[in-house]
Amino acid sequence: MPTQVVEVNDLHKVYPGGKEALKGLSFTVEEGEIYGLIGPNGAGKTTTLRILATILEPTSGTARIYGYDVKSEPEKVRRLIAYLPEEAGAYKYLSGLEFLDFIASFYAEDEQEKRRMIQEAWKISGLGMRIKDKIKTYSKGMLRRLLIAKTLMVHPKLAILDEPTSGLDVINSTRVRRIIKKYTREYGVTVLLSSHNMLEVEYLCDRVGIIHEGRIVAEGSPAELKSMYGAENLEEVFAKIVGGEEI
Amino acid sequence: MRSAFLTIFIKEMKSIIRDPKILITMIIVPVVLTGLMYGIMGAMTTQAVKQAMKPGGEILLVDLDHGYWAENFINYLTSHKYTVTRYNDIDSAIKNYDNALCILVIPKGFSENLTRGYTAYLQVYYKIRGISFTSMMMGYKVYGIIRQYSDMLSKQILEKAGLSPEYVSSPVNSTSNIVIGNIIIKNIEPSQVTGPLLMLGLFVPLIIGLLAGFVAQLSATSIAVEKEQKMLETLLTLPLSRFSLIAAKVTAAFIVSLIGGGAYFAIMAWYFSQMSSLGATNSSASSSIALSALVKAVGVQTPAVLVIAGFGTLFLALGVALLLAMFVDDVRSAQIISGYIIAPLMLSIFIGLFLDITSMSPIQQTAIAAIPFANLVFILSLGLAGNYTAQLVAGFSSWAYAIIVLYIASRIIGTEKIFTMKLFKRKRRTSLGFHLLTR
Repeated sequence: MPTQVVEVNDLHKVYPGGKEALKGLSFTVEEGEIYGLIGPNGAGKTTTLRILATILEPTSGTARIYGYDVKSEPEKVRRLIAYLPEEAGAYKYLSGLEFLDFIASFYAEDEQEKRRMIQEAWKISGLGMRIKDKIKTYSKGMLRRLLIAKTLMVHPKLAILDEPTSGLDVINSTRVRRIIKKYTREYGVTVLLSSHNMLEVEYLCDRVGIIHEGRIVAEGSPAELKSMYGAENLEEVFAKIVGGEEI
Repeated sequence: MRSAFLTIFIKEMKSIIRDPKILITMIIVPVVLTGLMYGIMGAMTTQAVKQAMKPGGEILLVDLDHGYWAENFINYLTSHKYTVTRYNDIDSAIKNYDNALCILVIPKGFSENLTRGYTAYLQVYYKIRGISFTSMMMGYKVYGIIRQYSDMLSKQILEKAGLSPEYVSSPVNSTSNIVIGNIIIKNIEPSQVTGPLLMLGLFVPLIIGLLAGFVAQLSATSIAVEKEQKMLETLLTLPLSRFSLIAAKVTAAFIVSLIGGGAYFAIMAWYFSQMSSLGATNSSASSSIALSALVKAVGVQTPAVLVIAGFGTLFLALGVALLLAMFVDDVRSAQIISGYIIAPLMLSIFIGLFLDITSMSPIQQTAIAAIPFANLVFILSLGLAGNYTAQLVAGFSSWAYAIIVLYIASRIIGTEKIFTMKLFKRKRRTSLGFHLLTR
């Protein structure tokens, strides 16, 4: 039986002010798979990822990563995950290399492992000698590649990626997707990602959960979902489920 | 491997040193401007005082007396390096008043009055040419030389009459003795004691207040930078303790503030030493007697308590700034927030200066000693009053508050409140808080 990396059960989240972002969300992610959460704006994708990343606390329900509860055992969870927020930045007065060194210092057991992480991230980012420049001189694409690299270099048990290609052009998006696919397969990293881009989800994900108004309304592999809803692609599935206009 | 504390501390130091918003606007520019301001003020004051004390200069003289004592006075002026340019009347002297010190009129009857034993008057006309410190000091120069001449004549007259000039000028005099606490210091000028007292009771608290402002601004900025550079979310998911995070930020802000504050202190100390050296008349021996007696009177522990309270106050300002900065989104808001801390802090210290704590009962003194920031001013008075319990309260209460505030800060940073609570409501779509509340 495959190991369950993420177990979310009847998760509720009510923000101060009364907005209910999650209304009984449940799903699981198995070891080694890439699981995509897709849904319209305000569906609760980012809230879910932030709860799993131990930034937000659930109002009720449970969320576990490798059996550790995100609310009561956040320190243990943080050792297993690497999180890339949608609007992540980096310290613009550090060089790319210094930034990687900063992140690696929290994960590496010794200097050798840290050097390994940095070398790997340098390669993943594809920044070449620009890695030694200050981050403030980087383009949006370069910054995102650096952030993807810092997330993957630590070989997390679970990589949580919120809109990994958000705001990137086609070339950079394709490059980032290739990096994620290649790297996760190579090191057996489990990935939980959210995206608005159905092509991206279809290309990357083994399984997809469609989230709408704080609940999972459909789940399965892209092929299963297309067949279930008689659709040609995930965009059609998505539109049919969330009640968008017919394509 | 490097500890999480050291990793964050090194990052903080690099960010502070490299970020022009922090290093230039918050440290270099204020320190350089203050240095320049005090430098210019010091140089100008020193120059003006030296000019005023240096004998000599041009005096336009209108001699309407033409008598023995008029000539004697004119000779006295020239022998003291003054250039005397004579005019027949005041109008022509005024017309030629360029860079002269003044117009001096020796009225008719000047010599006769002096000869007959009456007071003789000189008329000084001083033209106001501006409001510069130098020009005003120069105007007083002439009164000094007239006073000298008058004292010389007085001495001669009294000696001729067989009287002691010292006796006649001050038949009744006094010696000054100071009582501080239970200590009596004999034959000492009050200024020799009030100087160090002001230093401990006023100057040191104000410097600590200034430093606390620095610390508050830097620590508030250090948290806001994380949000502005969109690193806070990432940072809070890293495997590091919240305490390490807070402690590293606090330490970095503290060290940089100490450097900045040290620069301020050096500038101010230099300025005041320049100013005090201009009018210094007391010997260092009597000053050190006064200082050691003062330490005995207030208790040897007082300076130590002041230092302890000072550091406690700095950590408290730092903690409060850190706590408030958690609920703002950018550096600008953080700097506004730190202004909210600095203003009441300085006000509290100033109120403390006007409060006579010594007239209160010991219980009231102890209660008031627990008021943060203001208690810095009370430490000396409490030492003089011998209320050492209240002094200890003043010394350690800020530490207690600081620990509580920093504990709350480290608790909050570990919760979602850091994202969901906002002090300034903003409508910008890029705001993290906005996204959190709408998704």
